Amino acid sequence: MKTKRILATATCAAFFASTATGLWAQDLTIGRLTEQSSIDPHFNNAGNDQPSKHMTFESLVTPNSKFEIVPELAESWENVDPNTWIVHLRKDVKFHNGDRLTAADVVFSLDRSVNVPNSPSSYFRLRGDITVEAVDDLTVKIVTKEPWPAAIESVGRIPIVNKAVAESATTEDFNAGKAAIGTGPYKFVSWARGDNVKFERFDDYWGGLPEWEHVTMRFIPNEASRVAALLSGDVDFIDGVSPNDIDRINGSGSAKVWSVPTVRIVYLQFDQRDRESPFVKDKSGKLLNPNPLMDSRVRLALSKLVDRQLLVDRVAGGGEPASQLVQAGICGYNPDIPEAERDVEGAKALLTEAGYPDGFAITIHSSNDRFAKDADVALAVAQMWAQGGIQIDDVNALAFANFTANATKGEYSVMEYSYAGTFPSAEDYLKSMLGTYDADRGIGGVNRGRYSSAKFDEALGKSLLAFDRDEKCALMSEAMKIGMEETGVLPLYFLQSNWATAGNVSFEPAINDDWDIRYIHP
Amino acid sequence: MSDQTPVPPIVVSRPAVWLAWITESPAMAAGSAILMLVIGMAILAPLISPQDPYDLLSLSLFDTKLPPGSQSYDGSTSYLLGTDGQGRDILSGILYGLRISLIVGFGSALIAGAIGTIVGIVAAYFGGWVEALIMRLVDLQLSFPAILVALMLLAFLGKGVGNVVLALVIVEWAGYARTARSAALVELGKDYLTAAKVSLLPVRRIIFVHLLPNCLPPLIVLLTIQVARAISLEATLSFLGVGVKATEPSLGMLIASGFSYILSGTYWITLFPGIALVVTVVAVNLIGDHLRVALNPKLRA
Repeated sequence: MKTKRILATATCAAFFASTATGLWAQDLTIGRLTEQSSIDPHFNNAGNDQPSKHMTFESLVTPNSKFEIVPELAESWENVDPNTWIVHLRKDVKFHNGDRLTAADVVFSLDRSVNVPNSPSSYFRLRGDITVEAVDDLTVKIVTKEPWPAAIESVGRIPIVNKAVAESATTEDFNAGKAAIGTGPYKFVSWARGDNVKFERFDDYWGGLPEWEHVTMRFIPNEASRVAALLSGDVDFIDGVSPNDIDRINGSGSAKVWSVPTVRIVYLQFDQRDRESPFVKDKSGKLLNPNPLMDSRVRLALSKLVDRQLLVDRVAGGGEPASQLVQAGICGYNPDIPEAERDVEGAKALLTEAGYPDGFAITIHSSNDRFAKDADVALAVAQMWAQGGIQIDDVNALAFANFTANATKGEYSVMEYSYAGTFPSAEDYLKSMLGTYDADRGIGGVNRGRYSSAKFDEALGKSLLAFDRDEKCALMSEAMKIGMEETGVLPLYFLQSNWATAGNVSFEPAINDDWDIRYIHP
Repeated sequence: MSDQTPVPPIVVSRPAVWLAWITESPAMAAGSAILMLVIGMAILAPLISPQDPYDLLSLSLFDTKLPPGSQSYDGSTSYLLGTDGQGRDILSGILYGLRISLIVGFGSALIAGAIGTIVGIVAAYFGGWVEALIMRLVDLQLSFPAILVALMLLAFLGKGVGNVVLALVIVEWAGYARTARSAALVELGKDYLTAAKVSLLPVRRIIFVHLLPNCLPPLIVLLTIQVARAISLEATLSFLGVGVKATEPSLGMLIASGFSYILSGTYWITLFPGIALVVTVVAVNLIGDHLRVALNPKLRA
């Protein structure tokens, strides 16, 4: 008891001492699920490189924790004609080696980003087909081949490196630290592969003095070990917290879980090819022709059988029930689409109307290693469908690699998938999930069920052409309404992501699932 | 009995003799009692289990992950051993899971045993290229780890109890063939078989009436061990997600489904099916051990 009080006094004293001098001088240790593939920011445009990348490097614009695109190295930009963008850079930005940021660095970086040898996933998709030139020291002109309303949101997210340093540098030079010179709040210190990566504060950071003095990221791929490291005080922050561990962490008294429904949607795709679908049968086991999943009434009935709230509360370990593909607040969300409610009688009436009063037999396929509870959710949906008279032949959960290979070949009838767009807009979702499959035009990329509706395609086409943001959002929400009325896919819920902090560290959960040092506060 | 050396298997007919033989060792008695209990529970599962865990309509998501002894949300059932993440009663899941374990265990061991024994004896009796061909095939089969072969077969055949039995027969027959051959070779060198051969008895009669019965003791021991092995192999395959259907879980699958919750305090999903599996396998092994001693005169000195 006495020791405790002394300790408490000592802590208080230390607290006041530190605030008094205005120096936090705090160190942060992070337990990370994944390890970056490189320190070269242009080497790999993948999620696992993101946390370390954004310590050291910045881009013209960046998504914040609400998934809104906000200016970073760009101060402002204007669209002088549909194909031309003028970007004004911040004046006071310094690189870690003391150089000032100039337009030449930006031009060099945008060009380098698609020319890194052996890149597993380059920035080609973000950069698109553009030409870039420096107008003066702090102004960059970007010219697109075709009118591209989202050019800044896309091109602007490519990391900016120091031209003088990176011009002759290889990816290995970045990994060794020699070329890892950016404008970000933390300087790269060292990377011990398989173990940790270290950073230290950049005192001349344009955004003010960063909150942490030293940041160490340890790679702890095992879920249980990561939680154990947090609870034992070895690390202050962990990502990739499984729903199973939430109660345990919150109950520990020393750590706290931060959760948010992300923009990643979990949904079902239906095989809508005009043929017998391989896993849709009558109750005697004969393949059904025509395929009932072609009928939008059948798909709506299946949607009405699902109790999304129950799924989220009892099976998925959290999340937000989904009645459309994006959440409120995101461009393309349609407030007129009603919340999907469970309605077994309504579903049965629809099935009768469609000519299946006694239902039919079906097998659901899902992954079992792609996101939290994927296999459990598929089983729970099966249970709900069974209660509506659908006979469940099987629920088959496979490793994602196998599952998605077969699903893409059209070998399944009902597939459980998840999807997250790259931009804070419904565009990616509508285009990839519901647009009629057209590889050449880059539409229907994940439309494995081959939903195809002329009405939807027309609405989508209009929205893709719109240049004005408000008009575009309105047109997309129109397309969203059509897609949801026809139940092109069956939205289930927005996946919840969980992070955990120890002690007094606080966190802003990011709805796009990428966390950033800027969201972690002492 | 101990003073009569090489004897054909003990021929016991009267129940009293059977009982005396079983109770001769406490391990054997315990093993048999437990196995009888397990078999009884498995047979009576549809009558005694509170829920049909394979009927999706009888499950409720309102009852997920309830601790042992909880009531269902509508108060109609009480879950003695708790429920899993799909609202499935663990007790019912165990009872039905035991059925799968026993069907797979005994089914695959008996079928593999029958095939392997006949193939092995035929190899020993005919010798020459027949023997060479069969035994190289056996060598080939035994050089692959059983779990690996079973995994590949099931990936190819698809899930289901029938396919698991088929896969286990394919991985297990070779062991019997090798044992049967060596036992048959020993017997073939004995005078009574030479006598049978010179009497010009039909080959079928020599093999099935004279040779086979005298090769049985080591095979019976192998059979019991293989039953236990098949039960754990099925559980392993289901744990890895290639065994039985997800809507009709076996013990291995129940264990797998609760595995991720163990550290978060929801222990019952894995613990109870795990205990049921261990108890069953140990019981069969106890019987196998006793049989090994009882049927091997050398060990009874």
